[in-house]
Amino acid sequence: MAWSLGDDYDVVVIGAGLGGLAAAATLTTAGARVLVLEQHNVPGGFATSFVRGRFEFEASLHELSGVGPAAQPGAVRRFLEDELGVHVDWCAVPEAYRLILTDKGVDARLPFGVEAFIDAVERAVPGSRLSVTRYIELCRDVAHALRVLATLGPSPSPGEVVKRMQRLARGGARGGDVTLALRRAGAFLRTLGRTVDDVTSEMALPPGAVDLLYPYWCYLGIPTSRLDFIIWAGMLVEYLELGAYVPRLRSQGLSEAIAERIRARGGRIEFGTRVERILVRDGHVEGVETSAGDRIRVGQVISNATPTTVYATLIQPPSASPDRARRLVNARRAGASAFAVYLGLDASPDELGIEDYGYMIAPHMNTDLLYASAGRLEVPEAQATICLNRAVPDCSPPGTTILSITALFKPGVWDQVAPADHVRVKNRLAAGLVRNFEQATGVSIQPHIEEVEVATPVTFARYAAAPRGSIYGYELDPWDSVIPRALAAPGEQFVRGLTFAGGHAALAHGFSSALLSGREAARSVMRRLEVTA
Amino acid sequence: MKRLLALTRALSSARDAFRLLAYRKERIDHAPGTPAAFDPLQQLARRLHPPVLGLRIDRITEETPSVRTFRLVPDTRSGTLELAPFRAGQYLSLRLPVETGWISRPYSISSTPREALEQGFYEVTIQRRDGGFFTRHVFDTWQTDTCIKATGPHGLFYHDPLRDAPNLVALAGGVGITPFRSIVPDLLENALDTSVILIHGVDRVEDAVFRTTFEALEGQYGERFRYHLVCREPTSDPNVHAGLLSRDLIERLTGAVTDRSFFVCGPPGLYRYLEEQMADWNLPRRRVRIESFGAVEDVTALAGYPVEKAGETFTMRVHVADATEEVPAAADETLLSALERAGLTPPSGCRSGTCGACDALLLAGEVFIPPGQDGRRMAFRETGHVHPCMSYPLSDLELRIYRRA
Repeated sequence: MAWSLGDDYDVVVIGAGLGGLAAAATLTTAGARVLVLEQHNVPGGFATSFVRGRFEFEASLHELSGVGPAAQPGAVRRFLEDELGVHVDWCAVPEAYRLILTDKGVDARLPFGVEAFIDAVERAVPGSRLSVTRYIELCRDVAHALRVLATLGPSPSPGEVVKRMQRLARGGARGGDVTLALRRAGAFLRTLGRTVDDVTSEMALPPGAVDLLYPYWCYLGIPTSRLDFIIWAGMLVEYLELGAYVPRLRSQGLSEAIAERIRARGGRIEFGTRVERILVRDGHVEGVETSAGDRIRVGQVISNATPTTVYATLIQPPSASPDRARRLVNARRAGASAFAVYLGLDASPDELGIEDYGYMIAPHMNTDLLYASAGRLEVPEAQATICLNRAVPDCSPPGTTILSITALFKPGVWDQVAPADHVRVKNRLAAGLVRNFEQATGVSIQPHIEEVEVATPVTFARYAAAPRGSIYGYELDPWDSVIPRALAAPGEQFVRGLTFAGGHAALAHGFSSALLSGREAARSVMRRLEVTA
Repeated sequence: MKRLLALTRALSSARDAFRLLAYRKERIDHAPGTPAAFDPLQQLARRLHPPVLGLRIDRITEETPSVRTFRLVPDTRSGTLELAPFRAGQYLSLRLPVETGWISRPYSISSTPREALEQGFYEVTIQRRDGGFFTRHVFDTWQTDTCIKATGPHGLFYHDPLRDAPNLVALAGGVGITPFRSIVPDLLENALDTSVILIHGVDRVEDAVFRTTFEALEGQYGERFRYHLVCREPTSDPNVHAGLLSRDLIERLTGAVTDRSFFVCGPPGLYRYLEEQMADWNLPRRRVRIESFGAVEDVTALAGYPVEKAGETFTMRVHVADATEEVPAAADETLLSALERAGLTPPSGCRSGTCGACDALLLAGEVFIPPGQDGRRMAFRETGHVHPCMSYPLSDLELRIYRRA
């Protein structure tokens, strides 16, 4: 039997992670002929699930921002429902997080909703209301300016950014709220290029309040002393204003729904097919070659595979991979990897005394120290733990609970593990994380473990072919965060016809960003296709 | 005026945007231009989970006239220089080349992780099955120095210290003893807080493979390990219990059944029998681990099977990449068997419905999935995915299968 995949595509998408799927779905919706090539046999990349016994575990998702309630849809829900016609059964996450700082005696529940959140911080740290209100106001101003900028498209010039901010301010002057417009434009420009700690330290927040504000740092994965303020503000505001959601059928329910949509619109997804070469001639993509020996002629490729992988190993001939592109990927820092313990427990959350959905547990909230501890091959000090039943009550059979514990590791930490020690190390760390959860919450879980699975950085490296096991794209220092990535994009288009989507692309990592990056990639390809046509 | 000043100040700080880009450029200028091709973590992942293992048969031991142990060492000429570490109880998917590719079968590793690490071999112990295409080929053609391919090690049938009780009861039926030849010595050597009671049920005394190994371990580890052989046919051997793995016998040999983890491996008949025998103990599920052992003996006899379909043969239209073929699919065999019989060789793993390696898209038609063996993800049930290794045709079908990366 001759196996081939034909030649008749406008676009080939490499990888069926969320970025690749969102790109393919956007393109097929617009009528483009699309082929998605995925080495794995399921769609989703990290947006997947797995079955153990009578439990189906979420592989990676803690919660999505940008979805919002049906009545107040966020960018992600609007994109999926209005643009793609993808309807996912979403379950609302009940609260932002329960924060337990064991060395500091902090145990606080932080709700969604800006007012409720500020109230909760005030209760825990009396006297913080004014400064916290001002801080979140600043974050909202920045987030608003970011949304305005997003209307400029994927790669504005610095001049356009400034002009757009001027227009934002003038728009206020022409009959809107002048003060507000000025404030928003000013907030954005004033905080651009600065770190979270740098901006936060000017706001005269009580230290106890900062502890309560910072736990989401772990979703961006670099310490607040280096983390870009703009993306931080955007994320914090999105969570507080719109809440967080998870798909009822795990994130596989999200990725499979998009995959199904691609198929329904005539797009094609070929699993078990790894792209081994991107063929480039005269600086332009001319095709791809796969592990199955397919050679597909195509002028536009969207890569959900990372720039690191593409420029180091995929581009053929290697000389077509420009020196500047290699310098760029080498200049960036690989984001954190993760360690996850998935537990199926044989008692209900009520019986066990697990009250909350999301637990952020650490000795303290000094993110430099927490990040440094993620550089050691020890039981991680900080953990983000999810009890899925608190958002999706029927996610496991009656009388059972799904609990998953996640911690970060810096790239490189697991490189030193001897192959024969891998299981021993992961068992030791998993036991330590379970013990830390039990001690912090007073809940006994170990005697109820019916199923346990542990994912290490090796697991993430393997299943998503993520360089260095990164779950978080490139680190978000101010020089490589979303704004500079967007501003630099025109100068960093090294190979014509090659566009990136996913967590390593312009919008940075996270489920929501990966989805929206796929849309951006598809749009720029569509613009180019129109030009070509 | 004050507002205007504020705007001017804000806009002047827009220079920061340019400064940011200048700094970005500087970072890139100073980074090395070498390709970052080497990734130590990806290398570790490939050591732990090699895409394929090339193995050479180093030694064959005839355990009984119908059971052989094959010692497998790296076939260095194939590029496999070292064996992947594994957890005692895991299996290898052994490949058999056929005209259009290969088919594979899962076999538990019957040697220990330490033997793989220190002496560089795996052993698999295979029973010849009457009418079995795979085992017949193995027994007829695999000789010393035959080179084969395998994937793995895979599998979830291992002792987990966080989950399982330190005191194990291992129940094996027939050649289902093989994973315990790995698990028992591994625990005795490495997990000093554990104890094991191994009860092996066989039809005839001469089927008791590994008996001398286990008797030696019993002598060596005393209190921590007990080995009991139970034989269905009457025997004069005083060290053998007569009968079946009954509730009474297990209670007598273990003393107490609570606070122990039961590990069970054997043919489907053993599972059905033990399910009845163990029902009254009301053990929590976490205390019973069962190795999925592949094929259903007679799907038409299962609860819920529409008996009027028995004996029928359907037509399955199969899409692979850009090709389409029509193949016959008999009601009493899995879609995977029908595909393999027709020379199509999709990926497969556990052949028990759980691992998902054979995942395919059912475009039209109906299948029967044995109760309790539907290992599909929830999202996939709604969009027509099936695991061909544990799906039986109930009508003509249309199926898309995938290639192997």
